[in-house]
Amino acid sequence: MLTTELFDPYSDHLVAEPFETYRRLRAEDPVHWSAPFRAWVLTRRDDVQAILNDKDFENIDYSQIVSELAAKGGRNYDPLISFLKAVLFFKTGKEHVRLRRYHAGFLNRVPIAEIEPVIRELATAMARNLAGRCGYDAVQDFAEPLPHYVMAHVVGLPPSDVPVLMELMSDVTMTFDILPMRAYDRINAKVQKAFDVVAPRIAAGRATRESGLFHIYEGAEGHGESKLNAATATALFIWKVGAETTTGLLGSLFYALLVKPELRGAALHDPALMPLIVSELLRLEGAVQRSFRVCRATKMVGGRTIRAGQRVLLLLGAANRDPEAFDAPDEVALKPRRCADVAFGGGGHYCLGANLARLEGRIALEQMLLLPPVEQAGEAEWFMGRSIRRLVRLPVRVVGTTGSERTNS
Amino acid sequence: MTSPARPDGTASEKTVRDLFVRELANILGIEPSAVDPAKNLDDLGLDSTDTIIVVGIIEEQLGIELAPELLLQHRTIDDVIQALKEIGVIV
Repeated sequence: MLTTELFDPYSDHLVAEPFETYRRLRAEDPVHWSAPFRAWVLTRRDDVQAILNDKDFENIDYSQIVSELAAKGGRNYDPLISFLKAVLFFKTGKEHVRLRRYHAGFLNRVPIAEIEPVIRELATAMARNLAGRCGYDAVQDFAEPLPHYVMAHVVGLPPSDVPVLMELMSDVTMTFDILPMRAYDRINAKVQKAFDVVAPRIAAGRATRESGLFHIYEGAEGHGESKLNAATATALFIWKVGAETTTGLLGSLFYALLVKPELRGAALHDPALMPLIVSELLRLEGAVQRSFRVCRATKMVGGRTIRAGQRVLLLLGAANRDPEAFDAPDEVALKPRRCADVAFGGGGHYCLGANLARLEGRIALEQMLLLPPVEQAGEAEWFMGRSIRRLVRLPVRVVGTTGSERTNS
Repeated sequence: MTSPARPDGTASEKTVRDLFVRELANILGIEPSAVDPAKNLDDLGLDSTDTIIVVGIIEEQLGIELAPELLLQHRTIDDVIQALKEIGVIV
């Protein structure tokens, strides 16, 4: 680690607790040139919001980076590249407009009110299972599986595929950060296996016009094999990104109830606060901490000149705790904030799944509040990415039980 | 391939330095003599995918694991060598 740098974008400290680093950076150099990252790093809400809304700052397509890596390193990363090509938020210009229409059309074809009972049924069944246990892992046994099953329903994948796909796609979003070749090799091999699971489902789903997979296939570009490949990548993208970000939300909600018992009391006393608590956890612990842009025209931002061709790293997680925009920025406010946050991004790339995520958050929170009170029973563990923030482990035990009872349960 | 590293995963400074110079020259398409160890890697024309490749090849050659950001955090070969001394790879 470079001790002389104000911001080390690769630091391990950013995994579990990035907020002190963000705070220092925002206070000392809010429009910061990072030499090791070869990019501007932005931390103020107003600057980040302005760039999200500015079409002269284009998204960076990671599929091109991985293609280049494959070519230079003599590797075949076709499955991973296909997956990354389907990532809507890496797209720009006309291609983005077309793909966004495709994704929005797919997600909006079923009214959210029709998905609500499905989420409720899944959440209730999972919570009921936890209620009978002395100890469990709040992420592995609830926050992680719930949105993966919800998204499988949305996409049209059978529930029986969910555990295997969760494993195969567990670290694909690590490719949003920089990785060693051995990691690209490993992740690419797993993505290939995920394609092998999903492609036959699409082929079968085409027969049933009701299936989500049918609609994904119909809207995919190309013909024959390439159309099937694009549809497979899109199905995996929608499933994975929708589920992983909501896993982050549900994990942070559970953790917040654990470390702030007053929040639990407030929500039980006034259930109308629940949507607000969901919003605040999205702001405080957003699953997407970073978004990259490349500047296409020379711009002034916060008194600094960003030249055309330079890259800009937007630290969404820092912007969302900017004290200039949010009073007591590190606290959960129980009345609406005046300022909009950037938890779901902004501008033309604003998250298409925002309403679904909020709904899942609210329903999951209701179920969490019905569970017997728990205390932490081991170390919380975060996903090893710097772009995606989510808990991967949160062991808990029911208050009043001991470790030995848990083992015996 | 025989690893130029010792069985305990460490290597001499000369071994590692020669490896970096050779692999950087290789990926940049220049003569090893043109790789100045004190020169900023950006100025040599190394981009971020190049750094991942070079670190990957050096890992394979030495039979050890290195952070892919090694060549992004440390800007010259001399700095990289110094960092590898600090983490005990170069002894």
